[in-house]
Amino acid sequence: MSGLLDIKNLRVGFGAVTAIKGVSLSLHRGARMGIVGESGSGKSTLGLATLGLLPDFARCSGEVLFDGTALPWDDDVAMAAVRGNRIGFVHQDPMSAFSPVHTIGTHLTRAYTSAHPGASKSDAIKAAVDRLDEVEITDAKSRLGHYPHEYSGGMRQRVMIAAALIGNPELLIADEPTTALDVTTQAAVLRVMNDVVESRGMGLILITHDLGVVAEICSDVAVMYHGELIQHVSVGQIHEQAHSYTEALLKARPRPGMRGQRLPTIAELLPEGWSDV
Amino acid sequence: MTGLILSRLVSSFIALLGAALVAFVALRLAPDDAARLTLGAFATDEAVAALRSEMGLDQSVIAQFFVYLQDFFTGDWGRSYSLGEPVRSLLGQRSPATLELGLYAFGMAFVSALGLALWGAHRKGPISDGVPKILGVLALGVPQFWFGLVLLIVGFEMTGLFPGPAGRLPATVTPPDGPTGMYTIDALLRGDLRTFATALHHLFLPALALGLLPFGFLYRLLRANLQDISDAPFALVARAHGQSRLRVMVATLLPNAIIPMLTASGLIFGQVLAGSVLVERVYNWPGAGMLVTQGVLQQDYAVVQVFILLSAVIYIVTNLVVDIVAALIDPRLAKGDA
Ligand SMILES: Nc1ncnc2c1ncn2[C@@H]1O[C@H](COP(=O)(O)OP(=O)(O)OP(=O)(O)O)[C@@H](O)[C@H]1O
Ligand SMILES: [Mg+2]
Repeated sequence: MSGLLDIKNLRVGFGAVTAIKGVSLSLHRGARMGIVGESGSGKSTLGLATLGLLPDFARCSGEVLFDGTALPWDDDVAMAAVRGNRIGFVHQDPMSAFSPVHTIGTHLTRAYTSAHPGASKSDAIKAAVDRLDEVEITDAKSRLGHYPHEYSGGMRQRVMIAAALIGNPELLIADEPTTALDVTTQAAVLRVMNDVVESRGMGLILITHDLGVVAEICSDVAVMYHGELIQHVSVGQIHEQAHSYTEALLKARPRPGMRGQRLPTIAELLPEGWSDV
Repeated sequence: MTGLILSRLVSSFIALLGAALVAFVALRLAPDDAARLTLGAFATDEAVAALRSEMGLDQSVIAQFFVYLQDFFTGDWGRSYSLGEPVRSLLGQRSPATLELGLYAFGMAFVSALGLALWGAHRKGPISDGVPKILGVLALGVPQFWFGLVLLIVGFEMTGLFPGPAGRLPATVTPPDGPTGMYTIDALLRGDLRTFATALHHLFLPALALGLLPFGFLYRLLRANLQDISDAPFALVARAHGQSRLRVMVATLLPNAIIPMLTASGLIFGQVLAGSVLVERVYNWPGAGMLVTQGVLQQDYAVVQVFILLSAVIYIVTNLVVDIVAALIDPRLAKGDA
């Protein structure tokens, strides 16, 4: 059975830095995969490379099959038909992900008409309102005319999810959709996103630092370290057959009963000589 | 928005007062006695004194300043002693020529800067990006009157493609009658396409000469702004939403990048009008610039002073308009806090 997404030996370099060192990974239809790893391990780069959105100076090799066909990264027009329409993307930084001189309504309706060429303006507005309702923005209709700076961080995060879903994609790549938020808002945004993904039977790649979130939402977890994929298991198995690095990650989390103790660092928890991987 | 307009109106008014003060003081500092200049070296001292009091020159400086302000705003701009005509009617006759030249120069500069900056940002290549870049640098370094002369040599002397430095229309063509005094517009209003084409033909070289400098400014400004924001996350996100590179460039990046260009346009348009003094000289263009050149040479201060103050008014008004347009595009500016 061919998966929804097949990443095959992907390598990405920026100048002297090799950000992704030959990653292969596949995702089944309806699977929800969490990608964890420390800052700079290449998580965002993996997401952007999949969508063909790396900067021009990046070197990229390998391929990504989506629904069995290789994504034509070099063909901007062909990729534009995939982006938003078949693969949705939520950006890491809600503060700078909106053009400051365009209304939220403009952002959403443009995303809609890109995925539905020839759609009427009223259809686009209706879709925008529906999607905003879905991510629980109250008073969506009148809020369409507002500018990004009139939205709070949490609202922008939701709007970004709404915009990523408006083209009705089969896969959503969400790059740390909740990092900028407080814990309560974070939980609300994740719940909303999870509900939508589940109800539509979409695939999900959730990039995050938070193993707790992964355990709650995802079916699979992939662990990245310095541009390499060091483990890919189902969420249930993560404790049983954890790679020593994954185990260190798990132990480095704060847990109940640890009050007053210093959290160990990853370096302290890793076995001797591990960094040779 | 109303708050912004009000505060801009107030600051425009203050700027205007300042400009009036400068023009006034400059005139008082001039070594020659205006009354003596008007009447000539052979007039009797009594006659000069009589004219001095008629001109109000025997009153206190402050009283003179207010009279001067009142005169300026009521349209009493004094008399050119060298041409023997009121300054206002002189400028009225000459300004449309300058304004028409300035509008074409600025329009050509703006449109080509916009087109080339977008093209270069969209297709980064040695021709699309490199050639306009070099042109932009040259534009800022080449003196306008020199470029005007080169254009004359190439366009008129060598190839004969364009008319020589003979003003706005050939002597055989009657200037079109119309409300604006700008020949291309008046000709169009009358439906006279032949005169329109002739006027355009005469405008082309001087407008090119005058437009090169603002082209260089505007091109470099817009190109740099497009470059700056082309890596912005919102450009990436717009593409992730399924918009092509070109669409993102025009619909998302341009509205963000064009605001500084619009703001600068106010200043630059003022500079174009001021810069026309030299270009008008080269092309024998009968505009306000020629009038001022003559005024300076003849120490005809009434003309020069009004020109200075009028340029300030044009500067201030264009900047007011530009600020309001920028605020309409960028809602953050409308709050008046940016
Ligand atoms: N545009 C770029 N130019 C140069 N280097 C880059 C660029 N984007 C990423 N890198 C490099 O690639 C590596 C991986 O970066 P990436 O953003 O994918 O990390 P990440 O896992 O998403 O980190 P974080 O959790 O902090 O978001 C880093 O070494 C980074 O410096
Ligand atoms: Mg990242």
